[in-house]
Amino acid sequence: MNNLRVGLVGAGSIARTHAPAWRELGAELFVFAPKLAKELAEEQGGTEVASMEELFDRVDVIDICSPTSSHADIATAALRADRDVVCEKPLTRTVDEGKGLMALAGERGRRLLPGHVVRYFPQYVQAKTAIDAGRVGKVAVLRFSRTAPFPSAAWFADDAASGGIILDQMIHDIDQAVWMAGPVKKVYATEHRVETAQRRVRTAHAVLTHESGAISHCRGLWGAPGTEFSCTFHVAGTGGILEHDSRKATGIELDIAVRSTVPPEDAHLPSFAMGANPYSLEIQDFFRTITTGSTPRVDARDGLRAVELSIAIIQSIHSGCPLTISNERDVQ
Amino acid sequence: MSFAHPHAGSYIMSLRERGDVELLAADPDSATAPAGELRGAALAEQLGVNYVATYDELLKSGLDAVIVCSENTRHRVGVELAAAAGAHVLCEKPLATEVADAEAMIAACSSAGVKLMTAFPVRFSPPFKALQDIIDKGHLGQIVGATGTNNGKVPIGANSWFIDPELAGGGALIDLAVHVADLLDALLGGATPAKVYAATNDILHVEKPEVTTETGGLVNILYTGGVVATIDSSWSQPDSAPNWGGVTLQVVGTNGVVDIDTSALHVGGFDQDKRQSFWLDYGANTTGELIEEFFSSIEEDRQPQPSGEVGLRTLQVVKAAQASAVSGDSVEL
Repeated sequence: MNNLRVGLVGAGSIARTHAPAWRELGAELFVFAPKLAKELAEEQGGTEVASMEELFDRVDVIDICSPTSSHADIATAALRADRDVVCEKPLTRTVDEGKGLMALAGERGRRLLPGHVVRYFPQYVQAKTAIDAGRVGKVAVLRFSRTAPFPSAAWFADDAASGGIILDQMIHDIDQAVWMAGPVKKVYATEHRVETAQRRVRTAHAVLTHESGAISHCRGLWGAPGTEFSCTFHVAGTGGILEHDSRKATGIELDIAVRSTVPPEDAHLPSFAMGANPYSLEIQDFFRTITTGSTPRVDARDGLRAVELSIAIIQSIHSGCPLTISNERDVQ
Repeated sequence: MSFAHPHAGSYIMSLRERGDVELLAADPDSATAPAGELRGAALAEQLGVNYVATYDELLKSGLDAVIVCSENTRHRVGVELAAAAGAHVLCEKPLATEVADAEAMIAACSSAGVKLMTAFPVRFSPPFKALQDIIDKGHLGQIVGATGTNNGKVPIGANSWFIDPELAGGGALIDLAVHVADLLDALLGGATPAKVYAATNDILHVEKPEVTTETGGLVNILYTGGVVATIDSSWSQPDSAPNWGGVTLQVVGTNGVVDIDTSALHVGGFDQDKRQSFWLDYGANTTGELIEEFFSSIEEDRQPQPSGEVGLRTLQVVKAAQASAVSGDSVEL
């Protein structure tokens, strides 16, 4: 059997987490991107290609690591070319795009796998496993937070392009809330943006009401320069609590004298020095699904749901009112 | 006035330690308290404090000040009696259970020319004071948002009124949220809540038939000027947790983020025989500092902080949250 051939669209920081994961599995890697494709291809032992068409010709799977607003078009073209698709979150910029992709994937009998990598972070997996095993009884009140410095690439700050902090960052915790506490029936959110001459900071708070009666809080932050990436959760149920704070569970602490000699990390992405790389686990899961037909941990329906809830949250921010979600039957 | 609130014991201890205070207590509501709860003359004897049977006798004895420790819905009657007798008042939180009551209490004290302070001890905790200092000095930059938590054990047991909505004025929201609302009130320098949305549920403690109110709550507040905050106000601390619970607050500014945890100052332990962990607090005595502020405000003839007005503002947040939870809509203030 031939090795899986994977076409990466994009060569930015997320592509750099996917590429080695595919290579670890023995996949052949092809890269198409406006910038840095050559560098990434060389680094990872892959091949740079000059066009999207050439990419589609040469691969079995397209892995979309490009900016949000391009996801739908590229995925559509890939599905029409009968390629399986892995696509970074958010699956799409709009709900209609997401529905369209799901329908098309269904028609063509192709995989559409959204990159909700937090489902592969071991701390979140442990919590989800414990909840499912009944360790904390019925979940009642959940809190999630995610913190990063304000992203530097211009398209993030452009709401039309990125969907802002909700669709880009909070979507991870929205997906976690659904994963841990079930479907959401109502959302309410507020956001505050402060822009001074030196600083841009955005923070957003969403309150979700689940069909089960559970309530969740998701808090996003794009903070001051130098802000370190961190994430937390706290789950309270009838049988106990679960909590995690990435800032405390480091396993290693540096005295400030030592810190000053350490070059700053890419603060958008967490450090995985302490364990199995969640991006590797995610890509391994997608690889298994594509090559053996196994059920992935996260699927297109989850990806679309996360987009739907994110868009509803954005609407709530603008209207200042809560929004009821209709959980329609899934598009088959 | 009254032994309904367990803090009555802490106040008595703190006041006695000062050595400059004469103490007298009255707890007439003990007559209608549930059987088995230690109140009235019996508790007074245990606490070693002089006791009289009625508020009338208490107030006629020539008081400078009163501390009101009654059930929440009974705060107003105590404060109005005290004000009428010309005594300065320190009142347990929440100041009242209805906005109209709080307004009346403030008016009564104002007309009588006496001070009214709301008892928010967390305000006096060292972590909060340090946070306030950092913000005052501008180190955090402009405040952008905040997340506060007050997760406590469900307050059943020795003082059952806490879970009786007739006496408490509600459930988890009114028991817990005001503490965090007070900290935010202190930090946001004049910004006031403009819109509140709350989601509540009663999943926790569903097995306890005596608990009939909401037990979990998330309160989102949009302040004038744009600051956004959410308070987790839930009885979500497990019954067998090593500590009652505590307040945490994270404040986000344009310069970064600061987190405080008011229950962090403890030695952790594990008791093999009892098969559970336990905490030994070593933090500051916030009751003593709270009382010191009360007395200083009287001596210096100034508003105590937190004042009655702060008690009113924080109550308004909770009342809006309660209304929002019922209607399902956001509520404008």
